[in-house]
Amino acid sequence: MIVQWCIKGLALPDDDAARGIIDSQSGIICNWWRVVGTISPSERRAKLNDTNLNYHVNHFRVTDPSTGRPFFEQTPFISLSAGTVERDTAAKTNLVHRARKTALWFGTGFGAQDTAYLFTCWTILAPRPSVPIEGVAEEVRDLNAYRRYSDVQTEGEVTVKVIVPDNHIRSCEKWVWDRVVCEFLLKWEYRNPRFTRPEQLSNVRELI
Amino acid sequence: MATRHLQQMGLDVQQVQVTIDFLEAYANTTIRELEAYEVSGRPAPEQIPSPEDLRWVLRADAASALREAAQWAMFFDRARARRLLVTSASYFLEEDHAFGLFLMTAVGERPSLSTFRQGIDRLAVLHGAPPPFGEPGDIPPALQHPQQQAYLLLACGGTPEVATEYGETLRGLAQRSPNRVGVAPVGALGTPIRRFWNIAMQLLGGNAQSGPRIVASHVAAMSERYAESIELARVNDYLWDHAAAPVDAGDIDIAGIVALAVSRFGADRMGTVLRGVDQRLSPLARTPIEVAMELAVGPE
Repeated sequence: MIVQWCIKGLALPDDDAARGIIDSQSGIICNWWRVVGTISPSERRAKLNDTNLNYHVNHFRVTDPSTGRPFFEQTPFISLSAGTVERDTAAKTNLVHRARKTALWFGTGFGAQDTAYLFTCWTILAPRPSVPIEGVAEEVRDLNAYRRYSDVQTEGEVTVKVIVPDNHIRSCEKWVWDRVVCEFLLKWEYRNPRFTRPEQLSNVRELI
Repeated sequence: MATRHLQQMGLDVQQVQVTIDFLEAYANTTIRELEAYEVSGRPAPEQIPSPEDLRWVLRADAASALREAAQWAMFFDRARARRLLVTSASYFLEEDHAFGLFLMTAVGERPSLSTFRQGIDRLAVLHGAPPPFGEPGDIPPALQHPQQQAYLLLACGGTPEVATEYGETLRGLAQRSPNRVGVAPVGALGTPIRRFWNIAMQLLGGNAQSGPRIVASHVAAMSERYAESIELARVNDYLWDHAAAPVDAGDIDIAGIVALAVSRFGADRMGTVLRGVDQRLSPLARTPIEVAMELAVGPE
């Protein structure tokens, strides 16, 4: 298993809503959970399948035959940005994808808003496709229709299932796009007092 | 320059304009971070994860964002596209990416001949030949990758002074390189390196009659691949409509190659041969060629 740091960029109505994700201890939940209010373990198992992951990655707005609604309204997945910043890959592609850039892009609603809230968190990444296993996130490169540059190139997208638990979220940052000076400015950072460091999972035992 | 290509692809010009502004603002933010780091020598406190080499990350990040912004700007703002490309190129060059030299020469900037001589020396050493101009010093790690070697050769071939002065030496190196028949993917379209290599060899002094036609045929093949790539990307209309699909709607490789070919063979000759292949292509496949010609010879 891989512990992967990620960023989730969200467009939220105000600072209270952003802090509330941490203060309420609810974590970041998927659209499906948010819409229906209550979800059961059996429903979670049924939702986590390859068809739905393909919809999530490649056909976000397609009509979901099971609900008759656009798929994104009830997706059980959450896309996070992990970035791809490696020297060798950059030398082959002349392009790096930093997680913060992607998160800002999505968090500003593709530039429609000036404010983005960026949640820095970690997740456990499966080393191979494991869609039905809720506890691990997926690296979606093999599913993605895009083949930008080469097989070694990914867009750094990681897909979490159902929820990013509250204690995986290290902090929330508020970034504001100042269009006059043509820059993004970090306005504040809000730390999660219940954050659990991923080093907790390390398999290196200290010498006592 | 016109916005008709964007409209043909179902892209909202306003959204693309916002995308360019976003990418430039993001690049400026990264450059400000880089400048602060250069002064303090320390990354921002408790950066997670702490990059092993923050200076490299910030430069590469700025270069990438500027490049992406320029690729969108190519569709309707030639002056802005060229300005963004030059700045992007400077950051790539700071990391010894020959791609920076490719961008510079594609927009008509002329790095010093000593820069090219150093590059030729490095290419020679990489191909087991003695450096023709002396000791090249260390080979930058990036240049070990065949993709960077291809961009270096293209930059040399597309710079008339260099192609004239050192063409014979470079052709000799290019001929003995395994990249001549190589299959490593290069650029957004995953073009086999052999195609880039052959284009560079034409620029370096192929037959003046057939050279432009051969370059045009390669560009046409790349443009057909471009059309397929864009058609696939449009399936995800959520990302496509927001100009967020991870494909290059503005293709810098095609634009750069066409610009270098125009510089080498002249706008009239390249215009003629490109119009010849253009007629056999779909409207979508013609897009990158038309955008490239406008970037190379269009009005400001």
